[in-house]
Amino acid sequence: MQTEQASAEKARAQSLDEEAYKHRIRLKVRNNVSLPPGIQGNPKAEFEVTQLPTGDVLDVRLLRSSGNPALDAAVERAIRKSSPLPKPAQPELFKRVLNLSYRPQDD
Amino acid sequence: MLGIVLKLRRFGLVAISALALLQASAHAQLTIEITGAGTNRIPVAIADFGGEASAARVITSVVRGDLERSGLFKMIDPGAAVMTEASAPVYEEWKSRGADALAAGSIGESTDGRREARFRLYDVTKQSVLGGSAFVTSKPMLRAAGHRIADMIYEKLTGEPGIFSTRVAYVIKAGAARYELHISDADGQNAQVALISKEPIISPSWSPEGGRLAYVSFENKKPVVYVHSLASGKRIVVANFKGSNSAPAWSPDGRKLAVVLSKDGGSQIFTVNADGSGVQRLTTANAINTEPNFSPDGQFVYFTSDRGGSPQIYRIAAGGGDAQRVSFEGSYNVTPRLSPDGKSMAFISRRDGSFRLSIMDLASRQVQILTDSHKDESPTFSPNGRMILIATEVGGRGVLSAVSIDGRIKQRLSIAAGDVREPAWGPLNK
Repeated sequence: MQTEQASAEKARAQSLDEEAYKHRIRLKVRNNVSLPPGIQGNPKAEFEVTQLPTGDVLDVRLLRSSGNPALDAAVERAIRKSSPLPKPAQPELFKRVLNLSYRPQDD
Repeated sequence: MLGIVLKLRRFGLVAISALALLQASAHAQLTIEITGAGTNRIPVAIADFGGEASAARVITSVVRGDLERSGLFKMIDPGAAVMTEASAPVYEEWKSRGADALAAGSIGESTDGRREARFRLYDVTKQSVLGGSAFVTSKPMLRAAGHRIADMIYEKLTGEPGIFSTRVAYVIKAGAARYELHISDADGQNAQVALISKEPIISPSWSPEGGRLAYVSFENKKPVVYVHSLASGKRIVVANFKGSNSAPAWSPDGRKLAVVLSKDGGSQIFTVNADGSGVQRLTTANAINTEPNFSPDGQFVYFTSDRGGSPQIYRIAAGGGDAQRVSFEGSYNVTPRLSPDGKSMAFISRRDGSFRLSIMDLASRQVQILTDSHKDESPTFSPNGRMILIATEVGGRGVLSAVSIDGRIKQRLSIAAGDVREPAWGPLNK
């Protein structure tokens, strides 16, 4: 019983830490995005980012283009510029491969 | 090595998690959704170009000035070191300065002994070359080479064509009886006089290929429409009928002009071939119909008419037919000018007693007022559709002002003359 509670608490803490980790990556990349002019609508670009445990970005791969090459390039620049990426509070939350999607505006 | 890891594994949490990471990484991904942006300005550094120092200074200052004035770039201090297109950039240094992109170049001799401006553009974050080029130039053409370099940098970084090497035409009232039609670079520099007259010159309009200007000149004491070939200086009269001949606008194929003639009474829109032949009446409503402008696909002519009681914008099929009203907000909307992509329309709207540059998204009919000025006139789109040039009044004299289509960027064109009006932005320089 006690161990169940403990593991539930641990899972909660982990999920909070994971949210915080995602938030810090989101913030760093977003602040490095310089949007090109003339974006129509709110197109989404998806990238696969491979990083080292240090957060250094090894590789950025465009999975799905936003349809606007200048926007894709701006987001890729922002991801590379954000290297090293923030590290998680708990090392086991680290993921070598990140799936980053980007849209210019909140809906 | 493995032994040590295994041994540590029993005691050391760090070693365990590091190992666990490597195993987990193959199948686990973290998905992160990002929205928004830190800035709308791309940080870029233009290093001091190498080669002949005085010429290099002209080029770098033109490139920096163009990019900075566009409002889309944040200029990063490049330091004092000269960098040519052959220097290997130390990317880490430029990254720490905050630059996303870096340009370097030089003025040198081309293989056939002419002067050449060369440059290379680097993506600092990717640590790669984004592009580069060489332009044959000469001392009087150094600014032009700088504009071309700025155009290429702009296009590489924003994905749309740069407009720094385009030209603008405008009319200067240089005295009580002196009007000058000027053509300058898009930054207002390097102005050349195309026509001088004792009587007003109005409504210049560039042909789509940029070789000819149509305008109205009062040199014969009445408004007459001319087409002026810029290379030869030759002019032909396109419309000189009884009454008034005014407001020429080119069709997108450069073969025809829409003009406003009063020969049949009232003020009606006609089309005429660029050599003055084949005059055809387009509008029929018994009202003032004026300020025609072709849609970029050539299908429609937008114009101003008071047929509904107040001046509003209408459009009519280029082959004739019934006119449809386009503007509905407010009691005074004039001077329609379509964007190069045909999706929006710049015009002048009277709001609170002032005449302000406005833009309408044609699909949604949404209108945005772009300025807070008192008397805007003569909107003209940059050929990439990003900016609108207008004549406006400051302290009773005309000045030219460029406004971005989202209204965020406003800049005054530096023309050292008393009274400037009637701007017309030329096409892309191919």
